[in-house]
Amino acid sequence: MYVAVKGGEQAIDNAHRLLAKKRRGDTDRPALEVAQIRQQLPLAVARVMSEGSLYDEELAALAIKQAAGDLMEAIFLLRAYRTTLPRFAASVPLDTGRMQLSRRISATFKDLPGGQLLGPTFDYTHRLLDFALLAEGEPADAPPESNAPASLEPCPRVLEMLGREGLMTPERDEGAPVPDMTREPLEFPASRAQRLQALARGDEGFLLALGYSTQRGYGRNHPFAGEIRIGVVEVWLETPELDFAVPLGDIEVTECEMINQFVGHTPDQAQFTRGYGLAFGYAERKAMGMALVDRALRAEEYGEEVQGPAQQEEFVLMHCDNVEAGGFVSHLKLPHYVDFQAELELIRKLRQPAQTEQAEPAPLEENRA
Amino acid sequence: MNALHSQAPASETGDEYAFAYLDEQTKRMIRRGLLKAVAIPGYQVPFGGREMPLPYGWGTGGMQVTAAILGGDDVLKVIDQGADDTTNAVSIRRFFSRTAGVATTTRTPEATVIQTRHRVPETPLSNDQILVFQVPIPEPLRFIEPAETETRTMHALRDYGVMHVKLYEDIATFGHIATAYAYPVTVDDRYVMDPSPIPKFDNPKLDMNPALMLFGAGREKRLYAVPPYTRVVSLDFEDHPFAVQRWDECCAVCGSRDSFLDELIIDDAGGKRFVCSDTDYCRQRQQETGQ
Amino acid sequence: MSDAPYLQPAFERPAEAAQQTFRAALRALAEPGLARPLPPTPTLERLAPATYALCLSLLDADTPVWLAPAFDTPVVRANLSFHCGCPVVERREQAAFAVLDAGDLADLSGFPLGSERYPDQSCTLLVQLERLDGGEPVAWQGPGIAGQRQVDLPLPGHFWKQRDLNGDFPRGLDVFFTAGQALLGLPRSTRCLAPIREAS
Repeated sequence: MYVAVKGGEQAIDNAHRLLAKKRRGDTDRPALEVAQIRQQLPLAVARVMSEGSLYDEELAALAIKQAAGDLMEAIFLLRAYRTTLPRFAASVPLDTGRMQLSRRISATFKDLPGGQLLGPTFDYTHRLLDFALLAEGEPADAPPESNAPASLEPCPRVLEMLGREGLMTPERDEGAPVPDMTREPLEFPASRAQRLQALARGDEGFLLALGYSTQRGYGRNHPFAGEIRIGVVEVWLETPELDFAVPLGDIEVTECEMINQFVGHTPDQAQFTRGYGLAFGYAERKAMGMALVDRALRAEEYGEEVQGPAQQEEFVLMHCDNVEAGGFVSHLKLPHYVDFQAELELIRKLRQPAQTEQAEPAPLEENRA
Repeated sequence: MNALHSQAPASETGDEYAFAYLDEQTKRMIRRGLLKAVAIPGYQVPFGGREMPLPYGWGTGGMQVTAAILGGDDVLKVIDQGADDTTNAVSIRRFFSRTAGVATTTRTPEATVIQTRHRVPETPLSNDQILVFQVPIPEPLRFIEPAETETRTMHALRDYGVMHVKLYEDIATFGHIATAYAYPVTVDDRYVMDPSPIPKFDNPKLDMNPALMLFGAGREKRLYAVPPYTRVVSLDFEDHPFAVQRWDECCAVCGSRDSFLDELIIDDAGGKRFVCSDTDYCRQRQQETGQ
Repeated sequence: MSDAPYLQPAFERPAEAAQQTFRAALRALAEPGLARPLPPTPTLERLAPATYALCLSLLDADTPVWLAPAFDTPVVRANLSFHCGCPVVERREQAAFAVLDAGDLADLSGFPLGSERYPDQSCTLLVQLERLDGGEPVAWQGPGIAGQRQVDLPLPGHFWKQRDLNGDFPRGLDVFFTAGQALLGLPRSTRCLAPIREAS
């Protein structure tokens, strides 16, 4: 008698043990400390916090360790943890104009109030493997004698300066309650607040590719990197119990404001438009990709023809989340033998008349979940 | 949206989880959605789906529904492909026995709540049972029209012509309707609904079923329902009436000729055996026949 | 008012009672016309245990509630606000839930009925009655009912007219009738053949 495959419980337990072993690697080597990950892989931590929608460096580092370095898995871990947290309040909007800058660049003005501050960046490194690091040594260069200490003075934003001249389309705060896409499902068309939330959680690679596609002509919008700033901002909270706002703490964020092609009903009303990106931590690529896609998604608002995928709201917002995408793609690994059996029965039935009539069967429709 | 809540999710199970994992506020939101789903049979209610500690696509919608309805005296059964012992069914059953401490069973008649992926049990359900379906793509029109804005209008206008056109194109191309699972149905003569990727073999079981059927799509954030004793009709044409799969073979284990059979390849020469996909049904029959 | 404690008790075991109440409500709506018992719940002024239980298990900060004048007292407001956190709204158009009694059934206008695209965005009515039987029998049909069910809710005749006026499926109002510790559901999907009075 045939005995169907059993022992799912045992198989799962074994898989967990094997995974733990794989994650730990050679036990002759010391185990990674969460603090080491937090300190020495800060860009991975930043990505996990951004796409995990939770600002907690320690937990993000823990997630990276637990996920054996699989950042999407780490993002998923952090999201699943976040979901269990109570939601107390929405903070006062971040004032990035008061950011304590560690990096600030503008591609649109050679010099400007507040100056250009290169800060820590890969931009001008030559991508040559550093074999000193392989030898576990410290880098050859000594750390700089303080890179122009971050100014505590507010540094005006480039787009604000253009705005004062009337050259930027103004952004209005409708004063409406802030939607929370983790509690209310997206409805289409979505508001810009909802779009920006979805993009902030969106996959960096997906946003990068979509942003790139707009540069290659699938919905061009002539971007200039008006300003990118990275630094620390304070988070403030207004509570009903108090008449004033209280500071909760500092977070590091990356903000990108793109200056895009102008619009206007008449030439004398022409104004630049803007794309906006914001991410937790040091996350420049993410913020730039987000800003490009944000601007692309404003096509309808500005009466532009929708030509590229990056401009299609439903397409972008329904596919930018890597926890959703990763889950649904990976579920193909789950058994589908009932559905496949149904298809087998069908294809055999379809082929019966075809064989007698010597006709080639046409390809079947694409498989569904 | 902001004030601190008085109804704090007391951890009544005494450990680090809320009962059945979800906090009370989330459960309330899902429960309100389920009530609307029941009141408008076959209509997809948007809900604020939460991230679950299992991946999207692995049953997060079904799990959120189960978590929202489950009580301490429920008896839970979880099946995947009809079987209680597939790894994902085991994993979900474990999740609820850990976080809700509920009793679990593999026996269909003993369960009060059955969470399923891709099958309706062969054993007829009773009026005291709830069947919870895991749904990957809740929108039956999605493969004809990808935009939600459009499909929502089509449902509003009851504009289902495209669905019939699609099925008819199948007939023109293949001589048959080429949909073997996730076969669309009309619920109570109003909404066209995706019954989830159950084989069309199971579609007739949805019609006038005594059990309440709830559908949860986690990634797509939709809930829908078919109340007990509700008319559920599979789409078809007069000259091509709906028909279910039939096998020439019987189950190699219990001998059933009435159940949905899984095909097994048993040797390198492509030899085949067929066994019931519903493991509990097969076991019941083996007991009855004394095998 | 002076001696009555302002804050009144709610569910003794909130998570459990909320789940049991919800399951009864789910079943009541899934099988219209069958009365279902609810877990023991205190009263809240004029709110019967069943009405109060539904409020405690379904309302929160996301559900604006409209109270008929008979229920709209400082104590009811204070307790719903404390235990549920729900905003009490002045206009019917803002309500996700509404609490009514038999006297309010002559006019059901103004409550959201949902749209053709989003019929779920409609108001749910909690209608408190003295009892759930003893009225004129009405034949109910539709989802949840195998064949036909005779339901004898003690309702004024104009209720059925109002229900017809304020519903065009899939838009419409879903109703929970409550009395004492029991409830009975009437979703919009139920087709009710209103009682025909003998002409004699």
